[in-house]
Amino acid sequence: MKMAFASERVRASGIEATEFPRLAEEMEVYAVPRIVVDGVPRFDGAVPERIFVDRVLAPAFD
Amino acid sequence: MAIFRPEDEARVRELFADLQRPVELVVAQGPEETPLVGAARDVDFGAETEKIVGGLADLSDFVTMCVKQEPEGFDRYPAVSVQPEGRDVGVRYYGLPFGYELGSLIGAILEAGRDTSSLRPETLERLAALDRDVTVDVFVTPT
Repeated sequence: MKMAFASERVRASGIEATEFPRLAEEMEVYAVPRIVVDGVPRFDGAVPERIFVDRVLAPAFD
Repeated sequence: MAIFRPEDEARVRELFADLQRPVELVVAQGPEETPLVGAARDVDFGAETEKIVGGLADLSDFVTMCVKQEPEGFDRYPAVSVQPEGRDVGVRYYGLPFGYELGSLIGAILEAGRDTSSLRPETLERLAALDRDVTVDVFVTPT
């Protein structure tokens, strides 16, 4: 969220998985927090800011 | 009905006392998806979201709330958009802001109400150098 406040390039959403089961299933949410970047699941779990930023801004590995 | 226990309310008031600029909370209402969990089907998520967000807005003159029906820029409902000085910067909370998500929403209000970001200078440098748009979705559960 902080990244979205700091950059016009970033949009951020918090999504309550149990209320939106179809989307959660589509994003294969089995553990939380699950982080999805540009519609692609990336990683699970709370991590320090530096690691979070590294993982979110890394180019997609698809 | 009070949203917070008295000690929690006092703590949130204390946190909101640090807000440096106004923050608008836009509650977006519209058709809701049916949750899988049986008991959750009896909850009016939209109405509860309005109560909680209204409860937050009651705790500071710098925090205001408005409700919109199916506004543009929202993928699902209910949702809350956290807007520093009424500007939509793309921050959304989808679903009832309760438990873990309520703490996260309060954190977003505090960040939106700051004159300067609380992120590390290194992070701000990397964000300033971004040459593409990035969308981050964080899936959570209430507990």
